[in-house]
Amino acid sequence: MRPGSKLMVLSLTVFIVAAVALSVGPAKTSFPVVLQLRLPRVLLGLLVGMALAVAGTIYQGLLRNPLADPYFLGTSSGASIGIVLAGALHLRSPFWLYLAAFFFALLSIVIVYRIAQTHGRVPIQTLILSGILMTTFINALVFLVFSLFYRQSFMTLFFLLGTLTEGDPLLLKISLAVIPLSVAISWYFAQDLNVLSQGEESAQHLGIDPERSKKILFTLASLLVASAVAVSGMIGFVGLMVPHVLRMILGPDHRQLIPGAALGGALLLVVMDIVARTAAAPVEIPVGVVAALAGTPFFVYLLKRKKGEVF
Amino acid sequence: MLKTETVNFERRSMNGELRRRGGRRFFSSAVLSSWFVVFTFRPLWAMRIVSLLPSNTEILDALDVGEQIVGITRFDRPSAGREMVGDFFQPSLEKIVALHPDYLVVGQSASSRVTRRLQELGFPTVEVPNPRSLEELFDSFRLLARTVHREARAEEIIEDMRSRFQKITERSARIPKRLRTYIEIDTPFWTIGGHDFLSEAIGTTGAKNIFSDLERPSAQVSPEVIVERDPELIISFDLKAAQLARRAGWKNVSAIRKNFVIDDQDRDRLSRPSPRLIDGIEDLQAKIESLMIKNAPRL
Amino acid sequence: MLRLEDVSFRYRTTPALRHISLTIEKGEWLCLVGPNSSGKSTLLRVMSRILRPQSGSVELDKRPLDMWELPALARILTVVSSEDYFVFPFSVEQIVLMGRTPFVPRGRTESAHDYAVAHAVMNETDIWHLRGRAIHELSSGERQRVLLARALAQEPQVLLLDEPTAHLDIGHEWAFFDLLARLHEEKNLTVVCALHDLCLAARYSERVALLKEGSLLNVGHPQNVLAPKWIEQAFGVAVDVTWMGTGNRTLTLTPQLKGNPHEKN
Repeated sequence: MRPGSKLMVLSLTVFIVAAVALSVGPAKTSFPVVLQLRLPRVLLGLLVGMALAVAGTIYQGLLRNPLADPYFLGTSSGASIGIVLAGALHLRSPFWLYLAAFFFALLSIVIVYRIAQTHGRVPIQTLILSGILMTTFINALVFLVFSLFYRQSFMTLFFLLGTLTEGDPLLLKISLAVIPLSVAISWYFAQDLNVLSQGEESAQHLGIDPERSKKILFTLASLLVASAVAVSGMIGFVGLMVPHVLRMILGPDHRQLIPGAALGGALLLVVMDIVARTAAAPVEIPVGVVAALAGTPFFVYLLKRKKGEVF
Repeated sequence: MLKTETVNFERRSMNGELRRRGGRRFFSSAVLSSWFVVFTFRPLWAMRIVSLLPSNTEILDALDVGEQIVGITRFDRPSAGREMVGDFFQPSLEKIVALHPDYLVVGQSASSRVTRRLQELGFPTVEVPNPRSLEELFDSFRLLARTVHREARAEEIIEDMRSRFQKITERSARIPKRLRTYIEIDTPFWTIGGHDFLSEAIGTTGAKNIFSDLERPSAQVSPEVIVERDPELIISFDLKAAQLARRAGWKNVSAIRKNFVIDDQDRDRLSRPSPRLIDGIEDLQAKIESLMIKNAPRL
Repeated sequence: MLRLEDVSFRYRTTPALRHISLTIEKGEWLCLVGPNSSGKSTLLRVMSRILRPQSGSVELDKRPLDMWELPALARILTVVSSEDYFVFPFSVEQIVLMGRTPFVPRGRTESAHDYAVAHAVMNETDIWHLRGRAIHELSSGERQRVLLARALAQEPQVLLLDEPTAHLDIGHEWAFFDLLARLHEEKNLTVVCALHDLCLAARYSERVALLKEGSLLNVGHPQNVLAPKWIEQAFGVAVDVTWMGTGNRTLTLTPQLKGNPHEKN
């Protein structure tokens, strides 16, 4: 099958799964329930999944590292401290939340990148380590801000665990615009990613300005992560699993991989949200928990499989 | 999974009295040993008590032993002569030691290591479980009363509360129907189940918790199910009515349509297992009645 | 074609190139030789605009290198390095097609012409049979030919190479250079190649530039530059030099007797 037709099959699957997601839920399926409750949620799941998977794809390409993921790199945490800080400073308008999430997401990935980079490369060990460092540091900051500024709103804390339950409607609308747009622009820069994944000097020899492309792509990925975290909290593993599986199916060319990851991420998160909504109904499980439960074994499998192979 | 743990931990610490799973362990070894200490070595002068849960502080105040309290949490109302020692899950042990308490009043929680640590330090502790019903609420008054030797006062309070609950129940019996009620204690969609004293307390006003079938004190529930169970009354501790109405698909919920939303109650008074609860419930009933009068033609 | 005038470059405070002036003619083959850290790689990286010299000027086609748009530059000049590494399982064909990046507008896919060029260079470099294989399954010799093919797919006029055969055995090394020599001949390719191996430099290049501590010691015909006097000055070893073979292109270096440990006793 050609990559084009594989993408077609994938988008068809996304449609089918979305339809299933609309018809499955803890309440009896009726027109208003589907239209008013499930549709926004399925839409949110599609968007957030898309954002996380494409962000993961970009990070993996830029860092030349197939184990990169917004959650493990501390970018999601970065976005979360932005949101928590904005809340602590009473900047509760979605605009400020968004801006803060984006700024801190970008800041944290740049710092992680700087820490991990040695001799122009980003070795797997230092990358994972600096990601963990960043996550730990920011989580501590989040708790600090909480104990200093917040009294009752553990809602925000719980929200950081990742759930598609309820988003601010305005934030949702912003994400609805930002996520597809960022995905589209990332797609436009897909060849840059292909070339950059072979080293920055090589990229320049092939006529791509590595510094400029890196800035654009890091910004796009951070925008995607900030959007996802702002509306749904921190959900891990989607950004790791999806690009991996799709690279096996579509090959490593980012011009197919980015739209593929967008579709695959949407698919995966909607499926996981079906589980989150229905497994313990009427009680809800945060989808971030479902993702971690499903993702950890996958991560272990990846580590085992990759042993001995050259990164 | 580590993450989940931490977050749960924090949830409880900020509003512990509402969230903790209750267990009826009045005769647990810890409590027995503390009684032993109290009975044997009780000095003749006033006791020094550190209370690590706001609800217990309120109970002790109601038992007229407020002047014995020397340490409180950051969620208590600050008061002269009472030092803030942090909160139940993160108390400052140094501050507690410096206060020379005769004993500590703590909540009962499986996940808390604080109680054990305090016992190791040699402090007698009284563990008050989170009440799952009104009867258990009264039991917790009695437990504390025994510790401070105010059993008679406790019975007075309980009698008073019982009779006022009785009145509330009688009044609400005149309401033509029992209102299906959704109680949101926190966003998004955190509610209380049937195993929480508040579910029963609110029930006396004629409001029936739509999630009383949940066999746990609290949970995050599916918005679909809330809409499906179509509450006729919403009691919200956090969001205002206008914010609730903006939720997707909530326009047609009966409570929203008829504006049967109560969003202005004193959260602490209504949610803490303390004697003040009855004031909160009385106010709640008055509020429900006024809503009903306002909407009488449509009911 | 490529003109360097009084170029100096420092890494932070360490000088790497000192006042280098060098002109490379169109269609010539110049080898850069010299001891370790004599500035060969640095000079190549200055020529390919990876590094910008702190003073002096570099001109390509009479135009300062900085004035070139990167894609335009990539259509004229490119680099084959031995340092590329591959994380993702791109196929050989995909890698070679990446050489067409400077010709393909962003957001577009390669045209039939791009494919034709890529296929042609794959045939020239004898990697056509590998086209479907993933790059990291290949041997280093094959991989080096793929990197050469990717550079050739850019249809460059100037090809810069930095120790392209560093990891290859002697058979693959010679095969690689024979291939490069043929392409140099057929396409009138300007080749600038940094090499450790003086014999290789002597065999293939038309001119040799000898560097030491960032300075250009001598540049010219191999037989003039690779003379005992200059070699001793650059490398600090006394050698005897013999030229043999067709066109006197085969260089043999023999240590001078007094320095030979076997002769000592």
